[in-house]
Amino acid sequence: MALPKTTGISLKPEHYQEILTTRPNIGWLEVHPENYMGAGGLPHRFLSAIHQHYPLSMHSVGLSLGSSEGVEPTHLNAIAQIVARHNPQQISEHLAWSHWNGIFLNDLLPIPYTKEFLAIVENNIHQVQDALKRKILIENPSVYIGFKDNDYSETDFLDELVKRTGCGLLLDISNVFVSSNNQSYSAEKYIDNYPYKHIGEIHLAGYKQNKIDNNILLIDDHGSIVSNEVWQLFTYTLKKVGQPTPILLEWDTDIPELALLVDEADKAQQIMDTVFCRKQINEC
Amino acid sequence: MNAKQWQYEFIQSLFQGLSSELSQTFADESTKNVERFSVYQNNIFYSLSKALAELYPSIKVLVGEEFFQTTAQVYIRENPPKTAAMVYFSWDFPNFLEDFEHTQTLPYLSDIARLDLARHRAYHAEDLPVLGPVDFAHLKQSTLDKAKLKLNSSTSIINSLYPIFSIWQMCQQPENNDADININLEQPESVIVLRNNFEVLVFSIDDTTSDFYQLLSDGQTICQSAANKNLETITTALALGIENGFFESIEHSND
Repeated sequence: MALPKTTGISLKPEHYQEILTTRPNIGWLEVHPENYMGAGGLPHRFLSAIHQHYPLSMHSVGLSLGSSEGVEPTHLNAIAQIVARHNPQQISEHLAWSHWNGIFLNDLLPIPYTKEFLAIVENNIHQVQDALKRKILIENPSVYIGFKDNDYSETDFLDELVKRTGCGLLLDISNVFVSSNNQSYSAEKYIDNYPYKHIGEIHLAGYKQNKIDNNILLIDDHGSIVSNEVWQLFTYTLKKVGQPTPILLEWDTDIPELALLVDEADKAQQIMDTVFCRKQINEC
Repeated sequence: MNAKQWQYEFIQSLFQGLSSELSQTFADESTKNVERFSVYQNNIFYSLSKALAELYPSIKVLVGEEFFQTTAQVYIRENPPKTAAMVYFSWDFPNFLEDFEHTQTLPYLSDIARLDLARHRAYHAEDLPVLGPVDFAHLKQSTLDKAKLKLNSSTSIINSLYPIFSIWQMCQQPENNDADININLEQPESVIVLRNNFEVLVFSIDDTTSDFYQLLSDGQTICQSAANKNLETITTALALGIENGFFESIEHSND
């Protein structure tokens, strides 16, 4: 049971009823399990009803895999219960942290790519995969600050995690674009160095621009359509990956009409169809 | 600095401003770091303020956007989330409002927040079957009198010294001109909040009804809960409950 290698969209409460009524042509849906941690009520009812018609991915935001204190058992247990209740086709989490000393900050904070943090994240991924009894995918973060004492590049760090834990990877192309702009490196080179054989899912989303010291800082806010630059990087990436992959159009703030998300997903699907049709023709 | 110390510095800096110890671990020159670090600070306060506003929509209507944001900043600094599940974030916000020095002129605010919280809790409560009119249709009065009624587990009863139901109703239509609404702020009101099937309901109830339902909730029989109360009021209160899914089960007496 795996996600189809087609495009999906974020499932938002604003669209529950419309999705059930109109059954739009989308391949699958993704939710943050942290939004389904109430005991019952409409969120679970809609999620169950919609999951009967569409495959489901759970994209966690609160496991805090970069926490030096380890994964918080209560939250891991809550995730395990939601996974058991809704049985998603795929589970993913971020290369980030948010939990420290009993405090959970609702954000994805960065970690330095050091040997010490590699051991921490490795240990935490093992803990999650053991508890869930399945492989999870790890997503590259959007980064606003870099660190002096990194022992690894981000792509090498992710590669090491795959080797050490058997996890898969979720490549967020918008995050690559945002981070490469903010850290002044080449997004294409990042993709060239990325261990793309282990990709189980790709994310695309919008970002906003802030001006700091005459420089543009990009902020990953998932609140607008995908930019032309990210579409280009998406095409570049698909050619490297070499095969169809589950693609998510991610949208979390300023939620638009469902039709816009479906249009964006169609656009991604068309690009993927074009890249792989051409590839097949060339191979013939 | 090891990983634990570094994460301690990071959290401290999020709440108190970027420390030089943390800034020295960043790749950029220090002038850029403060603004770049502020992206994380802004993201956290934005998302938590948004979660607070979604849980307490009436408070936002009553105090206005600007005051709500200022209050949220203070609340979040003093009460950062203790869980990654946002559904449980800020359940102590009504108590915070009760003590917060800048909301003392609005003494009803904390009870309105309790009403918003009761609705939120009912919305996310466990799905359990409730009794309908058909379950009571064939019960004899004498049987019913001795029975204990288990209240729907999503139920909250809020007794306030202030007209919380009237104020909450006004907040449901914030576009209405305040001048059209005449609320006596010295009028105590009580409400009962619960979810029937998938609909969250709020009813204004009188003191007698509130007391009756509180006693039922404490495990008293219908007869004990109704003692020394106006029979007509109790009959109306029971009918309201039977019609609207207030009860999960009937426990019959063996006598």
